[in-house]
Amino acid sequence: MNPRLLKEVRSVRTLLGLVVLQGVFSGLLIIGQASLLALIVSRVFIGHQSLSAVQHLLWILLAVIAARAVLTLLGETGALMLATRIQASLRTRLTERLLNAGPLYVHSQKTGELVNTLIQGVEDLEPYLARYVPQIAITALVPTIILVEAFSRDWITGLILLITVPLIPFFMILIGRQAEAATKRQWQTLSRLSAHFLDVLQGLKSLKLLGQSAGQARGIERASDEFRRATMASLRIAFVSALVLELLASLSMAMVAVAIGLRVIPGLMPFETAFFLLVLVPDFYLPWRMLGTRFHDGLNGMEASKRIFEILDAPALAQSGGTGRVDHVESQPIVLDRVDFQYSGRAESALRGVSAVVRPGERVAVVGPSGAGKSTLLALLMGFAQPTGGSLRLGSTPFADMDLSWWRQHVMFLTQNPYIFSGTVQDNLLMARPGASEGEVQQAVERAGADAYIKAMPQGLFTQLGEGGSGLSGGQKQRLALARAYLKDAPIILMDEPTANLDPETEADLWNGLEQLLSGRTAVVVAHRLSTARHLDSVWVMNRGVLEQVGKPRELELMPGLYRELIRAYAPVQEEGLYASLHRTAETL
Amino acid sequence: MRHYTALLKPYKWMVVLALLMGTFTVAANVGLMSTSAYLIARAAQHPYTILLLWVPIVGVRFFGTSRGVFRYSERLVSHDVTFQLLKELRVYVYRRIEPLIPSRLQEFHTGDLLSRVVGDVDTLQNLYLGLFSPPVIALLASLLILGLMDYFGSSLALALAVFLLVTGIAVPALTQWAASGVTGPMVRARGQLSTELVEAIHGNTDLLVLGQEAGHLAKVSRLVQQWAQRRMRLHWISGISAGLMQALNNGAMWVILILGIGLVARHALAPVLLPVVVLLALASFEAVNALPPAFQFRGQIAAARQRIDEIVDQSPPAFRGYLTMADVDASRRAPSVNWSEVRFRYEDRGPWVLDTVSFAVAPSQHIAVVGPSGAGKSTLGGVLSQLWPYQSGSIAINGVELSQIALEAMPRLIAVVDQEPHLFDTSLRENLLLGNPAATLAEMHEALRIAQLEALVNDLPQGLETPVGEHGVNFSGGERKRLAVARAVLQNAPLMVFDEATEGLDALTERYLIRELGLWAKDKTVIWITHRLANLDMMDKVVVLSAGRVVQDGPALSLLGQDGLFRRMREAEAQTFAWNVAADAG
Repeated sequence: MNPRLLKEVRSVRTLLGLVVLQGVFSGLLIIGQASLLALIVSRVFIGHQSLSAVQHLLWILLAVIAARAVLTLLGETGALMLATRIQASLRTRLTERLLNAGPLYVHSQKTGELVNTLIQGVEDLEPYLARYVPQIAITALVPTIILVEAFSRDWITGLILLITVPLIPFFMILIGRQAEAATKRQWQTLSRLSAHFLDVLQGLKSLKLLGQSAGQARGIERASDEFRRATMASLRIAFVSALVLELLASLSMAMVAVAIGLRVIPGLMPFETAFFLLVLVPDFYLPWRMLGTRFHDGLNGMEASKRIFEILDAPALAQSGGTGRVDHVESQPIVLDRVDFQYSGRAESALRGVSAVVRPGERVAVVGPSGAGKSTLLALLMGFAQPTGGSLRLGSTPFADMDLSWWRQHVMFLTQNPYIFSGTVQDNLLMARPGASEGEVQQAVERAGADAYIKAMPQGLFTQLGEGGSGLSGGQKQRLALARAYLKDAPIILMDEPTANLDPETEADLWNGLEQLLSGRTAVVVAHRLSTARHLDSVWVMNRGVLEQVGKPRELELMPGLYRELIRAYAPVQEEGLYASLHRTAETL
Repeated sequence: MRHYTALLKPYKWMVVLALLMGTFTVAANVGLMSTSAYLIARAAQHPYTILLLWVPIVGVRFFGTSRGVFRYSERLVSHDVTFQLLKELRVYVYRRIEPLIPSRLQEFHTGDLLSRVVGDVDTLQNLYLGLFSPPVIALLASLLILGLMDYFGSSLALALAVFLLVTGIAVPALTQWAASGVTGPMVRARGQLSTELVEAIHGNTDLLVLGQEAGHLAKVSRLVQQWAQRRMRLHWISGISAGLMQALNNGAMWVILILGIGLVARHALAPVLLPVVVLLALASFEAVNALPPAFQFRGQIAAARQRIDEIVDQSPPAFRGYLTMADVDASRRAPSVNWSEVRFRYEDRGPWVLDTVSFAVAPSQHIAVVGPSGAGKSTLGGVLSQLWPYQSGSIAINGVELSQIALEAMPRLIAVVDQEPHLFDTSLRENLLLGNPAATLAEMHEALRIAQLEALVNDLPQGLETPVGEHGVNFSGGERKRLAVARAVLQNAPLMVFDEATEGLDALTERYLIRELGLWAKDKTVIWITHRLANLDMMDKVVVLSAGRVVQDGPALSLLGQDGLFRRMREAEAQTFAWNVAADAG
């Protein structure tokens, strides 16, 4: 069992104690019930006593039965509660960890798989924690208690039980492990086959266009049949382990029955003891058999727990642990001093020795081909991670000593795909400034140019938006993000090509709003349009993690270097006339 | 559940065998317990010879051995039935969904929908093991046990029957009834929680940017608490149910004991049989143990079935075409295409996505369709390939109305590389062969060369055998697009439609691709859908769409001379940094 999961289980001590206690008392009550039953039957059968003579014993038996039921009730509920407590704690901690780890970690993972771990993975822990773990305790306790009792009544029966006990785990391990591996492989194939089915369904449109859709039903049938044959072959072996366990339990039951029966005849053993043992033996094997089934039920949870603890160990990239704050943020320069950054697990650095200064009120355009490190640079400026070399400072305070949550209150970041949360339009806007007045919200919406389409929605600002803003176009989402930026009113703005996914007309429209936002603020803007770069105060040209050129846009256009090459390169060879006219327009700007 | 259980019909003898084996498994256990009890009870009467015990001893051994064997065969047969059922379910669902895609199951929600269908099919495969067999086996085994009990005393059988019924049916039903009041709020709480958890992942950046991490965490932990509380109530119900089941099992034994003592006193039951009936009662509950999970499972199955039914029971769209390739005059290699006043919308009463669209393409003409996103460019390709039926107007291919052409004939008439071509999770070769299952190796390499992929494939150590991964993840978006182009080249239809085929290419390669493809298709009619305007001088003409309408129609150079949407879009495009060229140069 995963030691970290064991630690989780230990943290819920009271419930765990209850579950263990339930195991001990169940064992004792099982013995009590069997003794009473044997006593009553023996008195009636051998002693020829009447109903009234055994009446008091019957009442005690009923009390024992009731006590067992209550104990089962408590044990079952307790075990389930134990699981829920742990699941609740893990869910909260996973969320906290993901928020501390920040976007650089989250986007380095498969997000679909992260979602699945947080929702289904944690859900899968329940059978493992509530069924399998308590069953381990019960399997350790109940058979032991029964074994001791059996020995004290009849050493031969005790011996039969004792001999078969190690055989069970032995066979479980010997056959079980191989069979387990085979079964697991088969279930993996099964899920691959499900994936194949999904693949075919998802590709149906392409199959239709290619004229191949009709034949696929036959293909699905064939693949399923092949899988069935292969699986059945391995299941035949896998089920043998269950067969052996079953045989072991029922054969030793039969052995006990015959062994005691033969000693009852010559009067070597009283009927009462014999009957007692007979009633007891099935309860001796039951926990073992249950352990096998419950182990299977818990398998998914065991797998999930590995991944859960991996996520809990994710580095808290977006937190520095520092508490430093700086006065007058808007009048402090942002200094990059030989900044290096390397993503964990990558050989190549994303940023190498980047040194530059963003002066208060300066608006910087960052340009460069994809993979140049532009987005990484913005991530560092946002405090989503610390440089792996060199230092990043606000004034004289290094980011490493700064309270990064505090820092982010002073920066707004506009990305290519702003996320819209489920809730109303208003809820989404208020996230930028909780407690903003109605007038402030309205003003932000107008400045962002979002008022027209929000008014057109069925309930205006109070329209419910779907998860991820489904139903909104890219341009509409960007306008909401822009409205958020106006509400947040941060002195520093970072932009990562917010218009990259929009068509040219929408883009031109949105840029007016973005430019207004920039006026009077410090900004670092990743740009993909020449016109954007021209409108800003300075340009940083990046290539393969290195800051190659820094300067005013007009100066850079005249200097030899990457920037000038870029501007020349966009001239389409076949449309010289257009290029010339464009250049003239640019000159007049 | 009727029509899904009907899928089991071809396997009815296997089902019968599995059910019998399941019943015998229970019976063997009951047999083992009662013969054992009889054995020692008879022994306690000190018979003069051990031979009198021979029958119960053999019985004990027989039941002890056979139980495992019965169980083993039951598991084998029932699993085989399950896999057969899974196969039948998949084929059934595929056959029903095939005509519905894409016009009834629209793209923007099919991703989730289809994975739910696959999950639901996986749930339904347990129809036999989880739902069908437990009650049948419970019934058969109970009847067997009650028959035996009746032989000892009908009052005993009656009492046991009541207990079995209560345990097998009343308790699970009651549990479900009690839980139903809590399940609804619990599922809602879990739904809300899931939404917030997903947002902590997908909305991670924005939460941090907006300084909402603490607020979001508080929200999540509040919802977690709410979920846990709801869950706790369910746990009490589960606990009570488990306790009750056990109380009933032992209670039955207790009642049978009292009744048995009474019968013994009245000499209606031989004293030697008292231990037998008691253990028989105790062992009999294995017959109904599988019922409560089956009860719980019923809800899951019903939900899965309902979801699948909702999807597959939609009526397919009315395509009534019956004409074949020959009717469209395939002897002329490149057909003409004439759109006239075509209107199309995805949903009744929805907005028109194509609104009175008219334009003409002459045989072997190459045209481009351009326009801002959302103008209806991609829809045009879908309508032309009869994935979507148009509502009014006329589309004529070589003078034949498109809607008259049989769906089966379409792939030979028109090859489409659509916006999101699907690559299947197999090898490159398998994916290419979908274009033409009879393609030779040389043809495949030629197609790859035209699609500007030859160098890439040659560099792959496994070459054409390289797995493309799920949805083609082993390749970039642009490479996936061009693999689809190569596939379409192999399909080799007289009319070709390419939707954004040059995605992710640098300017130079883009131009090569357009030129190579143009040369290869010089005797074909080509419709080139794109938002990139740079290379349109290679097209015979350009059709400009905006908001579903044709706003400009003519050769690229003459459109550039006019003040209009085309020129404005081209100017904006020329402003973009041409990074790819620069990066290659540097």
